[in-house]
Parts: sequence; structure tokens; C-alpha cells
Amino acid sequence: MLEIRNIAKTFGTTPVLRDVSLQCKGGETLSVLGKSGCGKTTLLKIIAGLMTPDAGTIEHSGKDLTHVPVEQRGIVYLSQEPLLFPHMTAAQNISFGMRMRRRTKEEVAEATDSMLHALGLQEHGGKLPEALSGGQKQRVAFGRALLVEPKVLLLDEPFGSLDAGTREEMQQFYLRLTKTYGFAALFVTHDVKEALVTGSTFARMERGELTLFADLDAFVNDPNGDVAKERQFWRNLK
Amino acid sequence: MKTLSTIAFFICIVIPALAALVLSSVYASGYFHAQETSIASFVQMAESTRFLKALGYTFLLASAVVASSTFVALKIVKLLNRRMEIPSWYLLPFAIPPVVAAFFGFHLLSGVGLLSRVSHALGIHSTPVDFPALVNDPFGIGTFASHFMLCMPFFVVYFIYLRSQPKLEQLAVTARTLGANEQQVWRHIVRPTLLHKSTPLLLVFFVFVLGTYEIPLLLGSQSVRAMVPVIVDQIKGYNLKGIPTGYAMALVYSVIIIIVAAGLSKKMSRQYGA
Amino acid sequence: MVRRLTPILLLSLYVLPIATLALLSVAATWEYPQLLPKMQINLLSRIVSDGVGWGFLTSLQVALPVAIISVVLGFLSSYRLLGSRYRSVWLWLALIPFCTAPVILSLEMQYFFIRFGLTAQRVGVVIGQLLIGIPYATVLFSLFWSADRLKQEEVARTLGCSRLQIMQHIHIPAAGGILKLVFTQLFLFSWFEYGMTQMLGVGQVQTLPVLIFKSTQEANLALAAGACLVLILLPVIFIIFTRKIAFR
Repeated sequence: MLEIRNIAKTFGTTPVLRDVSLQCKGGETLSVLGKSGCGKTTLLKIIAGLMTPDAGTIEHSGKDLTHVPVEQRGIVYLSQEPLLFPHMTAAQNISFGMRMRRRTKEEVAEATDSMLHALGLQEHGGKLPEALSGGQKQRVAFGRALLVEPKVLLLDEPFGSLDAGTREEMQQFYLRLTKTYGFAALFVTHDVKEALVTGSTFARMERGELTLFADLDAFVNDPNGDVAKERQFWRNLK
Repeated sequence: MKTLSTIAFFICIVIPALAALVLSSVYASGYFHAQETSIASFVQMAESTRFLKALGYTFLLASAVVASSTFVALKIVKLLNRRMEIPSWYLLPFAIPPVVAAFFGFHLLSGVGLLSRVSHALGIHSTPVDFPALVNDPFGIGTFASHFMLCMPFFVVYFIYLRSQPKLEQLAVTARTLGANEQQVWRHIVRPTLLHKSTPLLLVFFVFVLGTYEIPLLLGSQSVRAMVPVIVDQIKGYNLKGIPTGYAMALVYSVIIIIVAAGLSKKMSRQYGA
Repeated sequence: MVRRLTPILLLSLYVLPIATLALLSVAATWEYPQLLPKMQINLLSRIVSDGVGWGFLTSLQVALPVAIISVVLGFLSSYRLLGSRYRSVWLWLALIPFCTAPVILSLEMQYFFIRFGLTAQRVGVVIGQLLIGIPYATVLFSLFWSADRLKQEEVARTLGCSRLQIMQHIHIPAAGGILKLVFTQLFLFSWFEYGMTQMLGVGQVQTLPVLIFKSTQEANLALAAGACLVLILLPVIFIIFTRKIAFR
């Protein structure tokens, strides 16, 4: 289980994160709803180890990860851009983490092949990223992350740059992956519907403060939340 | 890896640059010659008009070369006014270094040069003496022309490259849909964008002309001299007492470079930076 | 009409220096006011034996190590800029030697070269040129270390890669194009350099630019023109076949 306690971060004199605490179990996705500039990317980068917090701790299964280097944390960060390595094919991108861990060629080939199948990209393994569509690129990015068997996945608006249709398709794809691989995930989005579809637990982030909700009802009925605003909008529509 | 690159950066770049400045200061203080330090060399430099004249002339030359090359290159790109693949032969002048430009400039512009011969054949003048002095002349025409020959083709290629960027074309199309004619698109969209995007390159060329050596060495005159040849002469000349003054001049040159580099780094970081 | 004439005018302007040099390199005599010199084709072989051949080899012996070492150390040094909050400061530090006239830098550093017995030697000229070459390469490579590169590095690190692995598997393979370009630029910088080579080589390291100046001062027209031609030959080949010239 991932446990974050009292994380704080200030840039200059501006506090970006204030006393953020959360928990996320394996197989669970914590959906964090927040507008841009609310501090969600900073939070994810701190959990991944790409930034250091001013205060607070990060633990996984009771082990303190706060000062563990990024590459040893087992926490993978996925952003809006797929950030595929442009000189590698889709298959090479997917197998990248395994190759870096010096697994045997046979192991790498087998795992890559089955991942390409799981992603529905079996015919695109030999293509360079520039020849893939937006959705395909994002699938490859997921495959690349999953093949290193991460303890935690951090998703920073991963479908933000996709069109509405592909986005819905990718949300369903994501749900299938969570069922198959059982990783703990923090899914940050500003889209209410996406938060509802992908999350199993819910939180809202505003001006560096994180509010956790006991269950779906509490999240949906939060009077200050975006779900309430969205409902109000549809109610007012004549 | 970051530590290694920091060490490499300091050893290969920072320490030598610092050493050069420190050594210049020590030389300029006169310590190597008189075993004591003083600011006499700086006073001497300020009192001699030679260096100040050279400084002023070099600034003027650099400004004139960059401004005229920009002006002509913009005119050419405007005439071509279209997105295009840059043909290989447009890059031919890039193969010409200053030393060759100076050599060619001499044989083109001198009294017995190609231009003088053509003008003689056309019956415009009869002896080499009648041909106007274009090299080693008091106005630095030969020096200017050779620098222009080096800079202008570069600017043409760079402007064509920028002009051919899809984003600029989109801006031009937007302006046209808003009712601008070709002339207005050029004046209000294309030209300002080209100038804005090429500012770092123009600054780099400005600073290269400031440090020019080979061309004024071959084509410059004794009456107006560029900064670097004056510094070299002062340090390498026969007057040993003049060496600290030469280093004081080198120090002033270095300070100018440090200031220009600061502006350039800001521009580059803003335009290409992460 | 003017639009059609512009490329033709430019082409003539660009070819004129090369054509003139070719003509002068076979000029036995060029008396005033003759438009064309008296040509002697076998002058070419004499020019080569008179020192252009050696000048070519010396230039190559200086330019190759300068280009190779500058590319390697420049790539390493420029990595410092990636993701740095003080990127413009690092860039400024690299730009200072890059913008300094080589001949001035060699005068400023002369003490060390004399102290360590490096003057009048090829190795001294190579070291001197590296003082500019490495910062030059660093400045060019700074264009490679972009925001996207930083994001890719962050992804690779969360995937479990060490920085060394990232350098080996991500950055170096992705830098193929710019590595070639910087190598070409640095080779040409050294190939064309005169002031520093003359100052540190004290006339003993006779690269082609040094030879051009020397033969110009000795009024050896054909030799100077021949050396000019040979000097621009390699860059012209580069341009025609690779078009790998950056905007310096």
C-alpha cells in the first residue's frame, strides 16, 4: 500500500502543496480531480522522486521511499504526452525497462509479444512512434510502464491530449489493465466523468490541498465539488 | 553523470576562461614586467586614442556589416517570398573562411585587382593608381565588403529556413484571411518574425565581427584599425613596456564579450531553452 | 523578372570567388591590365609539392582531434544544462570563450603554453583550439538538451534506468544527427582557424590558413590561391554531399 503523509512543497514564497496525505492500496485507483495549477503534477513528481518535498514522507508497504532514488522506487509516472523514445520502435519502447534490467533476450521477446497482444498492437510492434496514432502511442506508454511491474502507477492526465472517442476507449482499456495487473494507481484528471469512470476511491485537489472522500457518494455529493456543479448545469439546461 | 558533466564543464570551460581573465589582469597590472602591480597600463590605454578609435571603428564595422547583411538578405528573401527547399549551392559561401574572403577581397578590390582590370577594359580609368582605393583604405571599404560577403549569404539561408517554417506560413495565411495584402503580410507578419527569431544569430555575427582578425590584417589600413589587430600588435610589438597596455586592452575586449554573451545567453535560453 | 534573376545573381556572386581562386592557382603571371592571367596548368603539381600537400595533412592532423575531442567533451559538458534552473548562466559561461576571438584567447593563455612547452607544436595548437572548440560544441549541443529531452529522461528514470543507462540508450542514440552536425562544425572551425594557430604555432605549425597568409606575404600568388582552393575543397564536398552545415 502507498502511504503519503503530510507532504508540503513551496516554490519561492508560493505554497504549492499543503500537508497532503493519502493512501492507495494495490489494485485500487485513487482518482484525483483538480484544475490545472492546483499542484497535482507537483504531487505526482514528488511521489515519483523527480522532486523532493519540503516536508512529509512517502512509504510503500511500510518501507520509507522518501529518499530512495527515482530509479529504485518502482513507481512509474505517465504524463499527458506519451513521451515514447523516438529512435525506438513500439516493441523496443515497450521492452525498454526489461532490457535495462538485463533480462534474457528470450524473456524480453516473450513479455513484449504478450504485452503487444494485450495492448492490441500486435501489428504495430515494428513501427516507430511517429507512425502511430495518439491512442496507440499512449497504449505503448502504458505497456512500457507495465512491463517493469511497477508497485505504483502515477497518471497525470494521461488521456488529456486525445479526442473524445479515443479518450473513452482508452478509459475502458485502462479499466481492463487495472483488473489484469492489479497495480495501485493515482489518476489525476480535471475531467469529472473520467474521474468517475477510472477511480475506485476519490479525492479533490484545490490550491495545494487534498480532500479525500470516504466513498463515491461522498465524492458525488460534495457541495463544493465539480460533480455538483456539473449536475447543476444539466439541471439548469432547458 | 551530472557530477561528471559538472566537472567536465568546469575543467574544460570555466577554469580556462577564468585563468585567461586572471592572467590578463596580472599581465595588465604590470606584475610580470615590474614585479609590482599598478593601474598605469589602464591609464595609458585610456590616454591613447588608438585603442578607443579602434574600439569605436570595430563597433561601427560590426553594426554596419550586420545591419546591411540583414537588410540585403531580407530584400532577397522578400523577392523569393515563398517557402522553399534550400538548394545546396546556397550553402557554397559557408565554405569560405575569413582568410580566403580576405585573399579574394584583395584580388577583387585592390588597384591591380579584378574590378580595376574590368574597369580599365571598359575605359573608365587608365592606371591602377586612378582606381579608387578599396583595400587598405581609410574608410575600411575592403574590410566591410569581405565581412559582408561572409555574413549576407548566411542570413539569406537562415531567413529562408525560418520563412519556410509551417507556423510562419500559418500566421501569414491568417493575416491574409483577415484582409492583409502581400505587402502588409510581409511588413507586419513575416519581417518582424524573421528579425525576432534571428536575433541570437545576428548577435553571434556581431560578436564575431567584433573579434575579426584576418580580414583587417590583410585589407585594413594603418589609419583605421580594428580592435583585435591593435591588441595583438600592442602585445607582440617591439615595445616591451607596451605589453601591459596590450593586456589592459584585451581585458576591456573580454569584458565586452562577457556582457554580449550575457545578453546572448538570455535570448538563446528564451528561444531554444528547456 | 527580378524574382527570376535573383537566384542567378546570387549564384554568380557565390561562384565568383571560387572561379577566381581556381584561375589564380594556375596563374604563372598576371600583368596589369590583362583580364586573365597567363595560365600554366602544371603549376598545380608544383603548388602541391611546394607545401599545400603538407599544409593539407597538418590541417587534418589538427582539425580531426579538435573535432573529435570537442564533440565528446562538449556533449558531456552540455549535459549540465539539462533541466538546470540556471540554464542561462551555464550557457553564458560557455558563450564567453565561444564569442572570444581565438587570437585574443591564445594571447591571454600564452603564459601556460610557454610554461608547459606547448608552443610551436601541433599538440599545443590542438589544446589551444579546444579552449574554444569545447565551449563551441557545448553551445551547439545546448539546442539538443530541450524540455522534451528532460521529460524523456524523467520517464526513463521512473522506469528504473540509471543516468548512465539513459545516456547510453536514450540520449546518445537520439543525438545521432546533432553529433554529426557538431562534428562538421567543429572540424570546419579548426580547419579555417588562423589567428590562434599562428600565435601558438609560431609559424611552425603550417596549416592551410597559415600557409595562405605566408604565401600572400611572400607574394606567391599561385601558391596562396592553390592553398585557398584546397582549403575550401573539403567544406564544399561536405556541403554538396551532406548539407550538414549549421547556422554558425
